[in-house]
Amino acid sequence: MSDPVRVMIVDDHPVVRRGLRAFLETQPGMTVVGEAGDGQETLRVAATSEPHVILLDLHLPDGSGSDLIPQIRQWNPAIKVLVLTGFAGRHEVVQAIQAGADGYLLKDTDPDQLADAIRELADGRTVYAQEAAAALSAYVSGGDPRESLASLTTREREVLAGLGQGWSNARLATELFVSEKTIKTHVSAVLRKLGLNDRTQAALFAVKSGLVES
Amino acid sequence: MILAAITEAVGSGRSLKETLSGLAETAKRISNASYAAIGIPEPEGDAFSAFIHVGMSDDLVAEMGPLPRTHGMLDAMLHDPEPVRLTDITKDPRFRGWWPRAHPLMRSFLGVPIVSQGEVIGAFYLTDKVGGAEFTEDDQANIGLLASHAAAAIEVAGMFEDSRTLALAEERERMARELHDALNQSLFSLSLTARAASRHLSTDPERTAEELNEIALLAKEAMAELRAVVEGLRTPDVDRDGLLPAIRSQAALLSRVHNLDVDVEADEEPTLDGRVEHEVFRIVQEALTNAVRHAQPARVTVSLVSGDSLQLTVRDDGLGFDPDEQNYRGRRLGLTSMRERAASIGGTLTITSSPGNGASVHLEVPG
Repeated sequence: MSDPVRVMIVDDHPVVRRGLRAFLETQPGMTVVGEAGDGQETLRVAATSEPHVILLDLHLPDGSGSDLIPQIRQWNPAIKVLVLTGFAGRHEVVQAIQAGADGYLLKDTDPDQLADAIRELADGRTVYAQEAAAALSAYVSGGDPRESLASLTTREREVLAGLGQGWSNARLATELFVSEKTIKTHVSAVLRKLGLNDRTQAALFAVKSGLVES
Repeated sequence: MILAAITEAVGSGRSLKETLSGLAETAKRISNASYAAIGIPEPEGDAFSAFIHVGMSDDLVAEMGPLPRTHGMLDAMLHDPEPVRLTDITKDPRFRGWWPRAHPLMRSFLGVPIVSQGEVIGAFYLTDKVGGAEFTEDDQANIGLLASHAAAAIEVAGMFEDSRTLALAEERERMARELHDALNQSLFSLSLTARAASRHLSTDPERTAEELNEIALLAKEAMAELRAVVEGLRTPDVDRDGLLPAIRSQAALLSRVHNLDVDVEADEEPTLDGRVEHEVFRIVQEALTNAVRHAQPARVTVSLVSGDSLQLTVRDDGLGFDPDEQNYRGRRLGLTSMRERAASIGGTLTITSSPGNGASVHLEVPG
């Protein structure tokens, strides 16, 4: 039997750290060598505890977990990073993988699958939750929201910005000096180009893409 | 008298539907009509997006079936900004020639289009003048006046609804995320701990008991988190919660949705009449909405002092505006509605602002 896999836990929720430790300690061939609750602590503890695999939450009080990955890599390129977080939004997944994460699992993973994933990573393989893989594939095939924004005409962008402020068609028509019918055409085009279902989704899109200040 | 009725009709409602019913009721009352309706057509097609009518019994309405589409005289009123006054609607060539099943037979008619920025956005339909063969020129003038106020009220109610829908959608998304995030931690930990407990079962009873205790704690925590999030989901309700708690939760809601500081300063819960509380809360909502929508503030402060009189101030550090300037139409409508609410409870509303210096809305209600 090879040396035990040395695991470090990074999560700002003490309950999660405790649960992970309790479970991982029951795993043969695995040992928990350190814990951290924020980014600063992570770098400090990783330097002394020599982990093979770091379980990394992305939401840390002093910043995004993704930002830590290059720093960990720089210090020891052999350390594997398994992101273990609550969400698999497109932005979060892409950012983590671009930063160099070796795996991405959600905090609803079955404990035994989590243990298996840690072993896979220690052996040099990658593991992605289905949701993360889907987000990644959507990113690769569909581009990011900023690119879809570029597909809009200037007028359509103005209409989208108006929707973002909660304007009615009547208000949009007044503000943009065109008829309501024209506005309806623009709104349809915006929805179609962005693959959105309704004006509420469009409004949220406008806010998220920074077209309007929220 | 007429003006007071109009003011009430355009100031009382909040949602578009409430505003429209108020307008239809007022139209019926001031013109002495047996039946009154207000119709807002869909931008395309022959359907009404809203057709609110008063004067018919529920039974009659049920018997008649679906609401009318824009045809005949109903349609004619939506194409011409000129009012139409007739002694007998059935003699007019624009009449379709027959009434729908169970529809009352109507004779005298007054139709007044609602015009906003040169476009007909809807119309008042009044029929069967009580105590006269036809509607009078005065009726026509009064309904015309009501229609000019209705245009603005409808537009504002529509805008208000749009922005409310948006804020709610955002808020719902945020809540879903918060709920997931709060519960996810405890439940994930619970699942890990349960698996650990089962692993220890045969070899280490003491450790097993420890983990089982932890599971009980985690379940309790998850329930408390759930309760806290669900609590935060409830929309502010002044009748249910009281004035100060409702203001606080409205402030919390706006500060989350719009990402700014909304502070509430108050010494104690004032004891007020229910109707006064209601109006004061509406004024606070309106003032906050105005500030958030127009002023781009970093901070808004609501202060409430109750003693001999109630002193309410909503102050923002945003762009400010010139209260005498004519270009703040949407904003002025908001201000008008706040003034009317203040007047209805015997209070006075003062607005202080200048460009670059934020704005302050002050309400004083004598005790």
